[in-house]
Formats: sequence, C-alpha cells, structure tokens
Amino acid sequence: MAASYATRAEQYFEDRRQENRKRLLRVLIGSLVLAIYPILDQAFGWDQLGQWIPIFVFVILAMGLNIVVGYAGLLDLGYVAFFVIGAYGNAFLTSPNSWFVQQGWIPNWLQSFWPAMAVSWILAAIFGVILGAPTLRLRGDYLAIVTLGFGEIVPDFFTNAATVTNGPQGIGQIAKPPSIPLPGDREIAFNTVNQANWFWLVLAVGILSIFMITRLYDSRLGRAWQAIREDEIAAASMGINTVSTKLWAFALGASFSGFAGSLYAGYVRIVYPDQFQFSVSIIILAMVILGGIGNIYGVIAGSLIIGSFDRILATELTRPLNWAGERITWPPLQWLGDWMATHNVNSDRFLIFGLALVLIMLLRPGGLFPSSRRAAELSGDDDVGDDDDDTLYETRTDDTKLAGGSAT
Amino acid sequence: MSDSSSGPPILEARGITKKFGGLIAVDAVDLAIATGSITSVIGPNGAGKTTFFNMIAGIYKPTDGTISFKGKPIFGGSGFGGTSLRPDQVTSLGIARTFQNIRLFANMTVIENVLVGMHSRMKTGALGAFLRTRSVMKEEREARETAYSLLDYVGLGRQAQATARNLSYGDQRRLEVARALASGPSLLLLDEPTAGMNPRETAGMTTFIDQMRRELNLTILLIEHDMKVVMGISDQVAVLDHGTKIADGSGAEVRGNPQVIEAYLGKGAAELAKQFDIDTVEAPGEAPESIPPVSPEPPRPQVNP
Repeated sequence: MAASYATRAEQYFEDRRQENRKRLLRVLIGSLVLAIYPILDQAFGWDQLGQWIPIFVFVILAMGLNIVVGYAGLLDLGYVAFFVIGAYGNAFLTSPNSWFVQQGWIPNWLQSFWPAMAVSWILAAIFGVILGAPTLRLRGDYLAIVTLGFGEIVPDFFTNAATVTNGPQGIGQIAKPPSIPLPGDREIAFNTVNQANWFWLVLAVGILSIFMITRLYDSRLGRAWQAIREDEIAAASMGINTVSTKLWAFALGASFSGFAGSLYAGYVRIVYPDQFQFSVSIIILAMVILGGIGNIYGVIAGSLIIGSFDRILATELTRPLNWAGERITWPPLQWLGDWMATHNVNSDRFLIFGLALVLIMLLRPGGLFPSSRRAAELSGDDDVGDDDDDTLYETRTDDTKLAGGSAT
Repeated sequence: MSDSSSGPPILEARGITKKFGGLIAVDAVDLAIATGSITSVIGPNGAGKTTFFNMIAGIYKPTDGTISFKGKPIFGGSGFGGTSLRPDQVTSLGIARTFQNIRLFANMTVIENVLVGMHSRMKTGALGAFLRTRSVMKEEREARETAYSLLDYVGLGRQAQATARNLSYGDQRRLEVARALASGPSLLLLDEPTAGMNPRETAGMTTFIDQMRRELNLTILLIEHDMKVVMGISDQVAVLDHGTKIADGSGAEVRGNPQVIEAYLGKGAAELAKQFDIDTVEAPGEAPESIPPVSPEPPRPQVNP
C-alpha cells in the first residue's frame, strides 16, 4: 500500500471537508431561496407566511425524530410528548398566567423567551431520558406500543392537571422573543404582524439544527447509533454501552422537539392540549418515512412536502376543484359536478397522506430520498477492486471473486 | 497439559454453569487459558460451546461459577455484591470476539465497521461531536489511521469504502476479525472462524490465526468444528459434550481419549477405532484423519438479507 495510513486518513478528512463545503453551499443556496420568500409573499399578497412558520417547526420536529427512528432505529410513536413538554415548558416559565410564575418561583431573568427556550430544550432532553429509560429493554413493536402510550399520557396529563396547566383552556400570553434594536430607531420585532421576521428566525433555527445533527451523525456517537440499529448484540460486543447510547438518542431527539415546541409556543403565544393530538406524532413520522428515513435532507424534503400539502395546498386545491365542478353541466355527470363544486380538499388530507405513504412504501421503500448509505451502495466506488495481490492469504473461491467484483 | 506452565492464566473460568429453564447447557466447566496460547473448545453440536463463549463475552450471565480475566472478575455471582459485567465492559477489559454467524453492521462501510470496533478506545461524546474541537478531530484522525492499518493487516485495505454487505463471504469473515482487533484486545474469542469456508480458505484462516497470535501478542480462544484447524494450531484443546467438559489437554492427548471419540462417533466407536488401529498419532503438523469432520458444514450465513 503506497499511501501511508496517516495520508489516507488525511485524504478522508480532506474529502469530507470538500463534501461539507459543497453541502454547506447547497444548504445556503436553499436557505437563501427560502429567505426571499417573505418578500415575494408580501409583494404579491399571497398571504401564506403564517402557514410556512408552523411547517418549518415541523421540519425541525422531523429532524429530531429522525435521530431516534432513522439513526438509532428506535420506533417512537409518541414523539409529540416532547413537543408538548417543550411548548408547556416555555409557557410555564414565561406566561403571566402560569401557576409557577404566580407562585413567584420563576426568577425574572428566566421569564423571557430565550432563557425559557434553553430551559425547555434541556427539560425535553431530560424527559427524553425519563420516558426512554423504561423502554430500553423493548424492541420493535413493543417499543412502539410503549412510546405510543407516552404520546397519549403526556397530553392527557396536561389536560387534567388543571391547577397547574389551566386544563383544556391552556395557557396564553407566552413571551415572544425580545425585539432586536437596530441603528436608526428601527428594530427587528417578533409581534404577530412581523411574520417575515418570524419566518427568518425559524429558518435560522432550522439551519442550526441541520448543522448540529449532521455533525452528530458523523461522529463516534452517530456510528454507535447506526451500529445498534444494525445489530444490537454485535454493537454491545464491540464495546458500545447500548443503554447510554440509546438514552442519548432519546435525549437528543427529544431536545430538538423541545426546541421546536418552545419556538412554536412563542409564535402562537398560547398552548392548549388539543394542539398536540396523536395525529401529530403520526404526521411527523410520516414526514420522516416519506422523505427518506435516516437521511436528514430527505427528511427535510418529506416534511416540506407533507407540511405544505397539509397547510397550504389542500386549501388552495379546493378552489380550482370547486370551479371545475361548477363547469360540469353535462347531465350524466351532474352528480360529479355537484360533488366537486362543494367538496373541500382539506377533509381528504389524511386519505391522501395514507395513499401517499402506501404508494411510497410500495415503489420506493427507502423514501423519496433514501439515505446516502444506499445511494453509495448503488453508485459504486472506484476503490473497491477485485485486485487482491496484497492480501495476507490468497484463499478465494471463484464465487467470492464474483461477489467482490460485483461490489464495484 | 502442554502450555499451562508458560505463564499465569489470562482467563480462568471455574465451575461455570448455565441453565435455560430445566436445560443445563453448560455444567460446571473449568477452563484456564495460558497467556499467549491458542486454546480450542470443541464438541458436537449442542454441546454448549457457544453458550460458554457467550458467558465469557458477557452476553449470558452464568447461573453459577466465576470467570476472571487477568485477575479481574468478569462474573462473580449474580446477587448482591456479585460482579457481572456487560458485554461492552468485557470488551473494554480487553476481550474481543467474532460471531459464528457473521454479524457485521451490514449497511455501514468496511471502515465504519472497524471504527465501531474502536468505540471503547475513543472518548468523544455528544458535546464533542457538536463542537468538533481539536482533540476530537485528533482522535478521529488517529482512529482512522489505526482502522486503515487493521484493514491492511487482514487484507481488506482496498475495500475500506465498500459497504460491508457487498463483501464476499471470506472477506466478511476477515472484516469481523479486523473489527474485533480494533478494540485492542489481549484475548480474542473466535467462534467458528472457518465455518462455511472451503479447505483452501480454511487453511488460510488457520495460518492467519497463528500469525495473529505471534505478531499481535494475542491469546486466542477458538470454537471449532474442523479438526484440522484445531489440531494444527492449538496448544490446548478442551472438549465439551452435553455441557460438561470431558477432556482437556494437548491435541494428541485429547485425540486419543476414548470419551472424546465416543462423544463424536457414538458408543462403541472407541472400541472400533482400536480394532482398526486408526487412532495412531501421526507426524506433528499432519492433519489427523482418525476423527472425521463431525457435522456437516453449516449453511453459509447471510448478513441480514
């Protein structure tokens, strides 16, 4: 082997740096395109900004769930629990209606958006560990059932602990991020009217999350997650502490959910348990699966697709459908015209999600954008050759040679 | 006892027993392994070899008995005050293993498999992964260097970026060895390293095991079906049958043991062997023909299809 090991390791890091630079460029271009959207939105009067902000919150949620489900392979059907905890965490700390604030337990400096967000972030991670710990011995279906239970219990708890949470009415007047003063008596404010500023804020948090998650994936911890997903016994035998590694996955996955929940609470400024139904967990999971489980960019694409359909497209498609329905005057099709003229696509959302998921699973089981692992497997690698001059012992049968060749 | 005098035992198992419900898979087995030796555990199918292995590796907890490694307990009673190490703790003590049915991380690349093997030798946690500090990067770089050198050592240097599932069967076996070596073990447990290999591959693997022992200062514990492998390289051979140890000694000693022949060939076989005089000890290094391969070779295992 001509190149020394140090050189080869260096080569790898150089390649990775270049790849990261390319990826960073792509993310930046993508974000720039998204970042000019509020300007277009306001210029053309589309008035969709209020829909895009929750969509971005869901993108962050899906990225967090992807850590648990995609990287570590732990099927979590109760992910909404951490979203609730993050959102209520922010509400408890910052709302003047919060029981904790009224008891005078929350110091003043904590009663503002950013410190509260940091606390909810950590709080969600801690609950990730607390809810994750009992599930560690479970696998597959059993794990899914238990997490499903948690996803039901946590919102129910917030409904019923009415003294503290104000029950189904929820908690209002949650703090918004403080305005950032700019020179010349201007400021970046985060009021309900400043939708564009919110848009950019959530976008920035999303990019930060991408940055953190990709770093996490390509690390000792990320490799340990993948190893556990592939084969838990082998992973344990290679020196991986499966308990702490899984808990890290739960904690970090939950922390992004807490992040998102806190941000969302600051945006809508009121939290109540009905916002966090079971279907939220399922929608997030659908985003991860549809986009490409394990591939963060696929997951982002999946959540943008489902999110935009859920919040924008379904509404927008109703008008052309009704319009077309009114144009159908041919008597034999009158029933269809009547139906189309009055139908609201919004009521079909779950039908269409379901159909889309079934189709994706049948046609592209890896999701729309499968993880790069599979892509690399298909595209091949020049380094892989059937040339084995320098192997220690030459004991290959014809069929192993064939298999070795097919790897290229 | 051939090599037991060459040093203190690196691994010592005393009276270890494993019961699965009413079934006694391993019954009060003692085994001492001398530092730097190659020890083989043989026995017919279902004799409890792999169960015994899994107890050393920490995957099963023995029902009774003690296991110590370099004087430190791996297992010393399951109740209060007992020690019972998890597999990952056993690995960080310096015991690494391979599996009878290859258990690679099939969708990860070859080098990533080796890097996972180095897990216990690295430190980076979640915060380090976010921050990628200088020391984190240094650790990653050194880990990769070691991984490349290990892959070259087993002859997979050129396939570092291939996905593990795409390797040929023999290469997958070699990758398992590289991954096990990555944890920097002083005791290597090989669970049927030649299972499913043809005679040429088997001969190559046998040579390689002996070479590793010499070059890497390893002690090796081997489970094997193939008598040629066992007799050729083992300093010590222990024979299990129905969970109990029926013989322990050098290859030649074990081979002549009537109980062993009986365990392998059935009752009366020892008599028969004597009658036809087929149990003469042959020239050293020569493969003995007296004990035929015991069981058909297991089907080639696939890595998660």
